[in-house]
Amino acid sequence: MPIPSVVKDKCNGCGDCVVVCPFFALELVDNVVTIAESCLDCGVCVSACAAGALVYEGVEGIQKGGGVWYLAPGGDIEAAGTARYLADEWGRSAAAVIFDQDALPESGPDQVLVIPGGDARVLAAAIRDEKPGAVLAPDRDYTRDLLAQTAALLKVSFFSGVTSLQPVYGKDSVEVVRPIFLGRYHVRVQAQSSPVLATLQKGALLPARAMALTSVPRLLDVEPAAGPEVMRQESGLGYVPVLEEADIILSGGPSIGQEGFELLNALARRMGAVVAGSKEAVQAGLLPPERMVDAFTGKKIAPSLYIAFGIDGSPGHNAAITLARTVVAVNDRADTNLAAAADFILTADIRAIMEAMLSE
Amino acid sequence: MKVCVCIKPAWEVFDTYFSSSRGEIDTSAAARQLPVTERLGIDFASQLSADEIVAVSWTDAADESVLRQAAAVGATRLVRIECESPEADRMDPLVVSSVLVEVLKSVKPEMVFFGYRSPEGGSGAVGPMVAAMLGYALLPRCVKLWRDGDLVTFRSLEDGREMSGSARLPVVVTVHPAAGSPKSPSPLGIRRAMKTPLEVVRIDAPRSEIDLRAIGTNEFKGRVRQVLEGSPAQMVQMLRAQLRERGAI
Ligand SMILES: Cc1cc2nc3c(=O)[nH]c(=O)nc-3n(C[C@@H](O)[C@H](O)[C@H](O)COP(=O)(O)OP(=O)(O)OC[C@H]3O[C@@H](n4cnc5c(N)ncnc54)[C@H](O)[C@@H]3O)c2cc1C
Ligand SMILES: Nc1ncnc2c1ncn2[C@@H]1O[C@H](COP(=O)(O)O)[C@@H](O)[C@H]1O
Repeated sequence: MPIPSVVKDKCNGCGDCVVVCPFFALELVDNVVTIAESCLDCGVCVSACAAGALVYEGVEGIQKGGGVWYLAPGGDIEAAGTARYLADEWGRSAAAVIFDQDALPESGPDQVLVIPGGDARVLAAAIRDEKPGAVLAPDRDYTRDLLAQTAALLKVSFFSGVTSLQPVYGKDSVEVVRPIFLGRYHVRVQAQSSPVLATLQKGALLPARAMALTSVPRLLDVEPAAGPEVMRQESGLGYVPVLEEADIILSGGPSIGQEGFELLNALARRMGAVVAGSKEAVQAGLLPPERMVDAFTGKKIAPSLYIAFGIDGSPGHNAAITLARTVVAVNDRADTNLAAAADFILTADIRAIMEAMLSE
Repeated sequence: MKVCVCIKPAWEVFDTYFSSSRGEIDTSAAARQLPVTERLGIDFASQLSADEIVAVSWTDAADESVLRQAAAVGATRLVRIECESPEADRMDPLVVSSVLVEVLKSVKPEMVFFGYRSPEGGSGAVGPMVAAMLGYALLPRCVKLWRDGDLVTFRSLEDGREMSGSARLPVVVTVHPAAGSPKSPSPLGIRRAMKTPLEVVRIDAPRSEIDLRAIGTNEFKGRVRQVLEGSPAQMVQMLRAQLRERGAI
């Protein structure tokens, strides 16, 4: 039976493996772990060993850092559930990767790896050393940049904005679904290279089981290649939202007036939404032209939620919102063109609805 | 300063349809256009007083007109990359980046512009990948740029925050659509575009390690059109429950 081997000079005698072994097969002799005959090769000790002292000889990916890594910058464990799922399906361990020793994830992983600095060159070097089978992250501007650069350094494929991720049985591979053409279509693709690097969107983010963090964070000692330096900081000027990028858009017609748009702005701040308006609202001077929702602007919007307040729905307006996943029409009249093109229709005093939303 | 702008002639997404019988995207009614982010890249290059603005595109001869459009708004040299590659491989950002890098290594620009993400693929990976392969500094999602000698200062957007920073040339810049409205071509520009030199470069592309299994549609079959009733507070409560259920909030 291919029981794990002990790398004696890596064992620090912490005893984590002894505690987790379900078959009481491990013990510490002179502060170094030994494995008894009763070992049934379940592998629990291998994933529990933060020092990398318990390994499977010749089985890449399982040994050392463990099978599935997920980036947990700032202790964010959004990708933990999916990493856990894939690790379980592959029969490997899941490890959280953090860039700052103080930003520990609260729960979830078998292991925590600390990769100081967290730029692509360091991450690529760590992946080369430790050979994880997959590196996952929540889909963010920052994680996309990082994993795309890392993938290029490793010459492996990268999948961004993935909405579904499934293991391929019998292979160390995954099949992912990702949107294309502004989310109008999707592709289902299989990765042939290893490791799989991917950023995950809503659909692919599985809830993480709460688990106590038992292992000690392991600092990876990687020597990054030299490279260019970019100085960056938050400018403190706040965000300049763009309609094309917005996930939630709150849009108004001319009838809601200045006051209505002020309420919309307040609501948008609460919801993380971007405020927009119909052509008529822009013509009335209620908002700048770049916030106009109308097909003739050529601007492509594809939010997951579009809520229109007091918009009747001209053909140009309705054509511009066809890629919105969910459309809500709020108006004091029911018989509008927009109501015919909406998912949910609320007919009431518009201001009363806005206030009810604000007081939620 | 020599600048390259990498151009992906992108389909007008709204004019494409899904053919369920062929399991393909039907682009017969759509045209390819010069994307806004690439036009903004050319504007940035002009504004930073580049001596030479090279528009580079891996695309078919049929789409050369998009490169001419780039010349009309300021590109001074055009390079079209031709390479034998299966259709599906052209979708893999790693393949696209490797092909572009080969040309960029011979052109040796000090600054390379990319769109942040195209409407088509939208993985936003090509710029970062090229930066890593060339060993250039990456300035992602820029909305403003300044240059003082070899120091480039920028403003950019990242996950809802505005960032500012700087790096030394050579750099790769990806352009965010919020950078503004691109300049329109002038009559002079259009005349000049016809005479701008266009080179065709042949390259062997690496094979993609991604297997395309299927393309599907997310097009909406129609709206639910559900009328919510009650007091404003009740309506808002119902709406919230519905939106939660659909994963919209
Ligand atoms: C049928 C289909 C299948 C797809 N399958 C996959 C898949 O399996 N895996 C996957 O990751 N993606 C897939 N995509 C998306 C894919 O087409 C990407 O758009 C493509 O790989 C470009 O990468 P990107 O999205 O990062 O760059 P984009 O967002 O498309 O472009 C960013 C910038 O890179 C530059 N650029 C891109 N292409 C060129 C070019 N040809 N010449 C010059 N400059 C260029 C431009 O400056 C552009 O603005 C698929 C798309 C389709 C339509
Ligand atoms: N990533 C890409 N790089 C280069 N050319 C591309 C890319 N994506 C699409 N194309 C071009 O677009 C054509 C059809 O692609 P598609 O967008 O799949 O319809 C291809 O023949 C290429 O010329």
